[in-house]
Amino acid sequence: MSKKPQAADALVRILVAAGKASPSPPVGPALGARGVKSMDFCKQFNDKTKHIVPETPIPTVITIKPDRTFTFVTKTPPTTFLLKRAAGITKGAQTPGTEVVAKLSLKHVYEIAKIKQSDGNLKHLSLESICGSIIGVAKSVGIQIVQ
Amino acid sequence: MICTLTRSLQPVRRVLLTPRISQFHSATIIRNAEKDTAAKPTTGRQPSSVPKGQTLTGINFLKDGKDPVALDDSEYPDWLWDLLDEKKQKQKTTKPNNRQYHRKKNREGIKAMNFMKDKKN
Repeated sequence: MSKKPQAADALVRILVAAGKASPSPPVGPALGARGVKSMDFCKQFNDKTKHIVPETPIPTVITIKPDRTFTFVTKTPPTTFLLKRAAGITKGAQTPGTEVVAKLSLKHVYEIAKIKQSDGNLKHLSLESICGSIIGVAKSVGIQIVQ
Repeated sequence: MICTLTRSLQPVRRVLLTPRISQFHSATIIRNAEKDTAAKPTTGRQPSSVPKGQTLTGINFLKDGKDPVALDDSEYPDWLWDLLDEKKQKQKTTKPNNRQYHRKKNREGIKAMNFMKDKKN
């Protein structure tokens, strides 16, 4: 897990589409409940995700201090999202493990691992370990990895 | 002369039977080893399903970025091709200098402890 917040810091984990402003459902209540103006967050977030293709889900972790100021960290898109897009499917398998919905090559896995390594959480891992994780995620979505 | 005759009689044998140097001479062994590797493809594995030059679509998510292009098989690290090999991955759990070995050992130890601590049985 990421490092724990101090005394009364609040951590909010949200998946936000890149470049999307402050819609009520995902962002509004989660931040508003802790006294943060969602417009402020959305402006900063959209600024930071300017260079990313719109609609890409971006996991963010927002740390809200007791004085209602906040900082946030953006991460790389979820692995399942990258895998499904590389395979050209929108939904994963209904029964992963038994059902195979798409096939990807190890070269795809390698490229996705390179993207993932730029994530703060995964910087210390070897590319081989990250590739292994991605193959595991692919199994859980019903994507078969072949040579 | 002799070696070509023997080669035609036994086409499977790769060892050169030169009359002067014994087949256990180091020079012959090295030469034969080179011959063996030259005969097989360098890695002995199947070529990838993605040929060189094919774009890997859907991976890029930056506006000013492009989808990566597949490189030649040899340009990828060797460990990549072993990732799907179940046997090789399991072998990692047998050598004490591997993380996987210690993790497996720890997990088995925890299970054993839990079994011993289980008061219901």
